Amino acid sequence: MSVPRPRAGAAPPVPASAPGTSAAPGGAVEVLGRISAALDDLPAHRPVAARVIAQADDHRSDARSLGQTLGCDPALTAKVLRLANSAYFGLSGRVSAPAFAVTVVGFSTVRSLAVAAMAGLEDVPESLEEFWERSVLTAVAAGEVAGRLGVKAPDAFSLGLLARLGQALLVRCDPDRYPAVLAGAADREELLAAEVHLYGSSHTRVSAEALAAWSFPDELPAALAQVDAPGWASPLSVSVRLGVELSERLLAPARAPRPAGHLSGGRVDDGELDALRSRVQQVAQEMLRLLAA
Amino acid sequence: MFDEVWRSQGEDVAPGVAAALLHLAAAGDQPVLVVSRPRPPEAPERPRVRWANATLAALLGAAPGDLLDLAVGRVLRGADAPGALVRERCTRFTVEAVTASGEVRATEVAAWPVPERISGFGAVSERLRVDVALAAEDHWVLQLLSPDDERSRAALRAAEERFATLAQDSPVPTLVSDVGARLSRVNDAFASLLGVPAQELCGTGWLTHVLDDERGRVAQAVADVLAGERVVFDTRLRTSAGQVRWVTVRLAPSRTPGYGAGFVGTVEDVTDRRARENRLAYQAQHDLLTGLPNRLALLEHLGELLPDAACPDAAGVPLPPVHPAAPVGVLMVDLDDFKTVNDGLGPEAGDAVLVEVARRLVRTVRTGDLVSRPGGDEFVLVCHDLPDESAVEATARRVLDALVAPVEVNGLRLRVAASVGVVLLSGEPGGAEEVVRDVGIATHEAKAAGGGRWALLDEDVRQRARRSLRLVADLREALARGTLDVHYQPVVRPGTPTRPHAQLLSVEALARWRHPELGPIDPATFIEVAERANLVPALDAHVLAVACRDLATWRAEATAAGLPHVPRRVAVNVSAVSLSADGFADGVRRTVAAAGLRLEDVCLEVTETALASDLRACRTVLEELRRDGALVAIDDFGTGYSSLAYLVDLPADHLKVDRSFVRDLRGGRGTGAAGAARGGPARAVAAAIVSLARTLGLDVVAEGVETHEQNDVLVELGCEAVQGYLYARPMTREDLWRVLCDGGTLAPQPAGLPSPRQVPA
Repeated sequence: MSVPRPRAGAAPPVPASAPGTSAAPGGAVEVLGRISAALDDLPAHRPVAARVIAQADDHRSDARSLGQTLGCDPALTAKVLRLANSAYFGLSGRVSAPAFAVTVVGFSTVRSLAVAAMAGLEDVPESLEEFWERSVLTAVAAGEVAGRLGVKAPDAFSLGLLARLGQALLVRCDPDRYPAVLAGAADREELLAAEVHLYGSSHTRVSAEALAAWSFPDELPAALAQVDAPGWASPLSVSVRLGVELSERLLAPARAPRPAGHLSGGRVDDGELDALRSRVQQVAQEMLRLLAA
Repeated sequence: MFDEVWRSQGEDVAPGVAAALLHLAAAGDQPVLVVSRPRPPEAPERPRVRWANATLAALLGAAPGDLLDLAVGRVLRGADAPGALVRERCTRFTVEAVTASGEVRATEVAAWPVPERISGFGAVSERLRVDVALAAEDHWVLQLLSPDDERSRAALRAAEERFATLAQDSPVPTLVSDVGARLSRVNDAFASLLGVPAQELCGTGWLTHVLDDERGRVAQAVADVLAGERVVFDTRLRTSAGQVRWVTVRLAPSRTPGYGAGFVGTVEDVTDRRARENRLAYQAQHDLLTGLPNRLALLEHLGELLPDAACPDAAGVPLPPVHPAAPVGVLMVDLDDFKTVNDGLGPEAGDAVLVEVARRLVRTVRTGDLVSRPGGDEFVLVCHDLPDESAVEATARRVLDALVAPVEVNGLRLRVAASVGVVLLSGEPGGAEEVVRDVGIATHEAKAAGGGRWALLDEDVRQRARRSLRLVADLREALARGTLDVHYQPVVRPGTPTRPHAQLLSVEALARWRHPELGPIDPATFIEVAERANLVPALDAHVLAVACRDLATWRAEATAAGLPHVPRRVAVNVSAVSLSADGFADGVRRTVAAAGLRLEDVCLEVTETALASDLRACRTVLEELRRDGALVAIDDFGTGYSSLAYLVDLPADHLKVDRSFVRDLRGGRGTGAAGAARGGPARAVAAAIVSLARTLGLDVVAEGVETHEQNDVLVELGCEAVQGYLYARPMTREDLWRVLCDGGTLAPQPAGLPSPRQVPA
């Protein structure tokens, strides 16, 4: 089973017997151990980002207190401000105060950016080609479909942004093998299979574990864990699933698309998903430019 | 490796393992317990508590140890119901939590089945390298969802759903944003307003329907609402059909703690109302007959041109002085004989003329110039860029020429002449009203000069007109504050050659006005001002009140301090306007009574002209007052057109012989007819008046006596009371006081030798 980590309000353990995972073969344990250590170490390297994550989940926080904390990390602040001024949030050029930026993008997105900062995603290794492009496409697409699934768009957006977090952790903790796994996989499905084969767990599961380790509200790691698990998934999870799917359709046109109806339990069909293509691409492009700047 | 760990622990440690696993949850504040029951095909047994954290124990009022091995159904009734705990999935159900004191509380429980085998993923935690393949028993982790939490969350959800339902069906277009400017929901009404599916409006989709040049403003409004302000603004939205709708958007901030700030908004389609308002606004600014801007629009336009002007719609934003390089000319066009057209051919013909004139005037000006019709048969043109007098003249000529061609109305060819007044805006601060007034003065000058011509406002004319306008305002204020002076001119029994000193009989009260800045104002001037501004009744009332008060004071002094002489009465001038005003008699009575006097103590001086103009009404009033004791004097007698017939009926006690007859009196003492001849016709008239008065039983007062010669003639004619500079000019009450202290005797001071008591009039 997925082991609950020692923290307040323990997350419902994600059933680990779900298909898509298997017992870890030899060598996997060391990698997973390194990842676990990294999850514990990373907050110490970006203490401000860690504090932002903790505050974003605290109901006593408000935009001002969160903005104040955020302000202590100039790089992260700049990122949040640039994002808040993107066309996606509708207020281009009108956001200059960190607290106001927090208001505009929402706590959840601030938290996701803080996670990205903490996980060192600003500087992803070469092997993770198109990492940000895929992540942002996933986030935007998840946000776009969220409304149809009764999910709050900011939640879907911010979770989508972190769906691939596990990849970065795997590269960091298994630099010898994981790049080869990445390079060898023809498409996402092959990659997932290879990950499960090698580590007993997919990168989305690792992402979920990271969020649980960093005290995200329970439903977020739970939703991420369901993304690549077949069968029923929470609406939030479905929106990320569809976000991932659309990002793959956009970036890997050769890959055989997975039917949207199947991914969403019949709530969104392929036509609807494909109708979002151009909008998602357009928004993501601008956002990518801002986040990369 | 995990298998090894598991094997090394042995089967008997399963409960301990579970507890070890769950000690991690012990620190949490969520009530958690672990239950297990033997796995089928063992004999079915009820699930029992294997572990509970302190929070759960506290909730039930027990120590954690007390709960161990209890059948879970004893503490959580319903947790052992079939289907509550299943292996295949997480479940949620309601139980009754039974506390140690026997209290029962309904609460919700979430139950997770513990997997049979740990997967590689669980080993990520370095701190817990144990496997939990719990062979013999099935385990579940149960979490009590705090009832308070649940309730408030449910209430919140219900409120959200209620709101969503209400908003969804509301006919008012409604928007909801959970975070930032991105909409999370819009209702059907908003979607149908724009004619697109609701989904397309979520996110920032709605902003694409805002017109391009409005989007910045809308974004700013959204920024304001996100910052916590309520905002209301008007903007334009384009529907899917391409139609533009005016809307009023009202946004209220809404905050979700720990989530962010959004807003809830309504959108009101005000297109129709706005169209109506625009129409009304147009009507408010335009003359409906000619379609030209009206007086209000003219004043606003001028206000914008004038530096520092009180522009009616400046809305607090000080306009920069829009002073163009070349001066702006304001021309007023006044049709010379418009009244004749209107009266003679009917208002329809008059309207037709106005419309035609408007049409022609519009063609005489350049783009950017204004042609307005402030009212009646007046048009005002505001023409830019008139650098010199020749440009002014050219413009004025152009206007006059435009009106030369006859106007055809109902087959008649009417010649329309106009007078044009011109004012050049000087750049001095001033009001738009003043400009219109000035150009009116210039127009008046042009008209007075014969019509059909133009006149540039003459500075002297302007000064005069301005001064008189100012005097009106100042006089009104002086009357309101009671700061107008009253001077007194004694009426005396004239001296004789043997007894040259005259004796004061009564006094005539006269209004005097010392302007705070302009100094003393000539009475003729300010009385004319008062007449023009309809201030005469107030003026008369003021003088009467002051005179009564002063007379009462002198009387009191005579009794208390032995003032040797007191006038028998005070005379005040009463104009025809005052006389015919409603309640005049009552006013006089009240004033006199208020001073503690009787009507016998006042004499009302009425001009012959006043009586002639409205004899019947005036006579009624005067007779009424006379009956009650007031005296009435006919002023300026001999200058009007009194017929002897009505003289008989005059409601008067005195006649005052006009100064024009007194002025020409010559000494006629001595020798009979020759003397009369030498006295000239004036003497004859005076003699006749005196004799006539005597015949009618009236007293006579001669005004304007300045010389011994006039005095002597009047004495000789039997005139017993005179008034004039020979004895006293009008004087202040302080000077009069001294006269009274001296016993009321006045030495004659012939003309040319100013009396020491003289007060400039």
